[in-house]
Amino acid sequence: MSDFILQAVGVDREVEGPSGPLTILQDIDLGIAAGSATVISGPSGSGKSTLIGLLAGLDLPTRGQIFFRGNEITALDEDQRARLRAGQVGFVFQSFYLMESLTALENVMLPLELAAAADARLQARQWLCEVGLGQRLHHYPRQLSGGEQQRVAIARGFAVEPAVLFADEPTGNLDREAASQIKELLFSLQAEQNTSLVLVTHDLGLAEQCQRRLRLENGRIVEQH
Amino acid sequence: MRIGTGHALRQLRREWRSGELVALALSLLVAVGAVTAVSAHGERIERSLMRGAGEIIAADLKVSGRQPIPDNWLARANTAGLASAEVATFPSVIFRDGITQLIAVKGVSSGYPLRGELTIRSADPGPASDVNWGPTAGEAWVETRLLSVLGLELGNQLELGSAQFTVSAVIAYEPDKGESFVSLAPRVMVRLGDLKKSGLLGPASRAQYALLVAGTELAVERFRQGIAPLLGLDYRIIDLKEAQLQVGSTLQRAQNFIGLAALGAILLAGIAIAVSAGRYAARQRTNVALLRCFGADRAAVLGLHVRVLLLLALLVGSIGVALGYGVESVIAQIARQVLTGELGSTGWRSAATSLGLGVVLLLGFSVPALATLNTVTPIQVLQRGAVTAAARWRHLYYVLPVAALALLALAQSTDIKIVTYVLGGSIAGLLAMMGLSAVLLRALKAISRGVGVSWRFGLARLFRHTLSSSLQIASISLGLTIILLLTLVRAQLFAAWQTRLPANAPNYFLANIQPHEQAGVDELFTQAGVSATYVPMAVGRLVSINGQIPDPAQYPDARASSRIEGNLNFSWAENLPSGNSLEAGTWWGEGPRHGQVSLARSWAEPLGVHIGDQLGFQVGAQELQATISSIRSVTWDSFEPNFFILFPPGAFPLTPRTLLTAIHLDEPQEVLLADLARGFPTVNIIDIGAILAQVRRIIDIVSLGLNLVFGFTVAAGALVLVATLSATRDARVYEAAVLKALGCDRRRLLASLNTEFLVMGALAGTVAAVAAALIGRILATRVFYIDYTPNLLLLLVSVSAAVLLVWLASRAGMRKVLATPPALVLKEA
Repeated sequence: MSDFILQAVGVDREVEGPSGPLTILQDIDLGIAAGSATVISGPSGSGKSTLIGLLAGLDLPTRGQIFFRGNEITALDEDQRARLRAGQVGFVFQSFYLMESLTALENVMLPLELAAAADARLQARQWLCEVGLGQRLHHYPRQLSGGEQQRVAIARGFAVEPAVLFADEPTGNLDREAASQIKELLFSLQAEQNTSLVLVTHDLGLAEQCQRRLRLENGRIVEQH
Repeated sequence: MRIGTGHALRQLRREWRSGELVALALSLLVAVGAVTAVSAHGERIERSLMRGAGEIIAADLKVSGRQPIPDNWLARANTAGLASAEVATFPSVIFRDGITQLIAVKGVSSGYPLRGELTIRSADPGPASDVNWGPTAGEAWVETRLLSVLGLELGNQLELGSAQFTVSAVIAYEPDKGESFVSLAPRVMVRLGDLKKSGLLGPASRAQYALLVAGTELAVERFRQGIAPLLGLDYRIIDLKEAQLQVGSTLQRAQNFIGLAALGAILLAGIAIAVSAGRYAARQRTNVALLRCFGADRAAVLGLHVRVLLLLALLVGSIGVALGYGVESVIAQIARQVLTGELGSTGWRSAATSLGLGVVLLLGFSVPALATLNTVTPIQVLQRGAVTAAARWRHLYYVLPVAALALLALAQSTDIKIVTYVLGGSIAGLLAMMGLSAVLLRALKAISRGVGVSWRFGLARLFRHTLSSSLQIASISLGLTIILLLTLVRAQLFAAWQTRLPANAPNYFLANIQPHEQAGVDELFTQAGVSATYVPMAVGRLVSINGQIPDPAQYPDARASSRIEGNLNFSWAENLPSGNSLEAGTWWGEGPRHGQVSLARSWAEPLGVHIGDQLGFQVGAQELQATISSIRSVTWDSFEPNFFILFPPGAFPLTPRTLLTAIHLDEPQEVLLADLARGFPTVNIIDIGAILAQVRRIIDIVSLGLNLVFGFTVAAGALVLVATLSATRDARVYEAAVLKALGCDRRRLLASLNTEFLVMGALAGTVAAVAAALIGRILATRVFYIDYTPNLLLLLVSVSAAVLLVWLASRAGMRKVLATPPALVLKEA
């Protein structure tokens, strides 16, 4: 267990459907090694997003256990899980999810402030420079292109130097060129920070760069490399 | 995990920049502005009234007695830094050319009057001038009617005792003349020093001596405390509060109405805040889910938003306070030009209170919406449709706005009845309006089958979510109801006041008319076309309460002592007199009625007596035990003769009685008083014109105050409308984008939107008209005791106004709905 920073044991997830319980995930057992890059792929509706939601402690499984750094997060309530995430977990989303009312700088400052970082502004500025947006600090999300928005999101995700970064289709809303830049950025920062990266993607190029690949179908892991 | 105040401040700045907080801020601005303006105006009225009351006694405090004022009291007043003057009044008789005339002599020292001014004319007829001094040595100032009775002219000599005076001016107005109804006969005012030399101020003069003092509130209070133990039985203190008694009931009713009107603005602002907070919370959901992802717990998220609002409340509240004072001072400037007399100043007492109430209002009305943010789960950032956790006891959050409103209501009006009506009425009213809106929507749905496609889309939006549509319609209706009510009841109330205090309201009381004189007095006035109704009056004392001799020391209410120790005027009546209404018990009917008594509530309260208690009265040699059979409320400000204590006819068959009447005399008719004084010298003529003028002045000030409140109410009503329509704008923009993508052209889209707003306005107008008519009737009959018949025109006006207002308010949002490209909206969704 100690080899894994994140581990799922016998995880099932069911939701209430119109005609009774609907199984989204079934018998999931997996471990994520520290500093590794893992991709979860599969067709739409196979349960990819649900799985990273559970691994990140955003939701609870119907059955089974999930451990983060040896702590059973499935035994914690929602607020305890939130506190555990602060400063240790980062996210990058397909829709970027930048706060519209905040500038690029303020968006990156946000998780740093939540993690009570003393020099949030300075760190955020450095991270934005690192992702190539040093000239766009005070731009609002609407004033940025999709690729730029995702770079802000990546800076935000890495800003707290998390142990694990979850990325849900990070290139899904981008054109080929922007996607390629984001891919490069993501893996270079992951290597630099020795962060465990958990990716959900349809992008084969992105998947090929991960050491570990899982394929989900109908809520089960059908392939592991 | 804690999110610091610095972060809250940054968040406030960011949200403000994004425009998300504008609606909340405007609502708060209006509410705090209204509360500040109303309470500042209340302070001003209070101070103005105190000044007016000061005029009634021509001082801030008066020590009055049957013995001359000891010299050291005057010295004490001067040491305390108070201005002082001495007055002595007594009835006397003068003879001139064979005519005998009863006069009311008043000797005044220099400095009189300390408050208010005398209006005199140095030529008769001639121009009047206001002066703040009395006659100089050797001068006599007299009332006009004395000149006509005695055939005197200005410049003639008048003999009073052994002293000679030159009649140098006519007194047109004497500030403290109406006080305590002792102005028996025409006034002759001279210097007190001259009077002392005249030999008239002997022990047999029946003179009433008074020391008048005026100065700062603190100095006056210190003087009162110092002098109180020295008064004994010979002297008593008359202060502003006592002088205010006559104007009190009018002021109380006026303040109730202003409080009610202000509550309307506050309630509307509260609804606008609730609606805006709902939209703010809805827009914060994704951000909250993100914050939860980044590790913020629920308390931290709620704490962050509460702090953002708290900061907003303090910032915007401060601007609201400044706005309130600004608007109030503009109204006061107008008042100074319109009203005669000095209008009081306002203080800063209202500022802190209003700011505090602003915080309570903003938090109270927005917490239910903010609490829904606690139901946001972090998984919603990955799965948009993820089920929201239901907050336990979430309905309990609605106790907060109700509690906030109750607190605000109590701060505005101490009248529990008004507070109950407004609070209960608004909550029940909102629910009833939602019910009525839902019923009307269902009825409309049933009859609208087969209408065209634009109408169908327009109506579908209203029908789809009956609950939220009903809430929207009810919110608009509530705003409109309050505005209608305010215009309606306001007009009715002032009409009723005008009726109650018509131009021919009595301006003289005639007291001490002997029964054998009634026919003669009546003939005198009937010939001049003046009608009068005579009520009997007798004097007695209260000697026991439930068999026990009452001890004033045992009653906490200071008013009890005058009821126990003083002489009581009472009367008897077959029927409940006009201006009286029964509050408890029953009026005597046909059966045995001996041994019953009816009391005015304000008289009974200090003694703590109720229906069924036994009171013992001593009247002459006769003692009567009577059971309290009814408690009345009395409209004192009608200036009709009214009594605290009423018995059934025949209760005191052997008691000597006199008659009392109230008459109105126009200025030319005042010469009748001379005939009355000549023919019936023992009749007391009491001039109540000064008190009437005071009451009218208060009504004038109050009506200006209402205009001020009305402005804020209209602004708050408009905010409710804008906030309600904004709350659903995002959904409308999205639906319009889908329709446009499916091929709906602009014309049909516009028609469908217009249908929605037309129907919404018509329904809101109908509901508001029904509610305003009902509430108006309840308020009119139960609170203000006036007649009110709902006008059918109200429905037409209400519906037209609602449709127009909703349509106008929808224009700004409509442009966005029509102009936003569908691709942009659908991409964002």
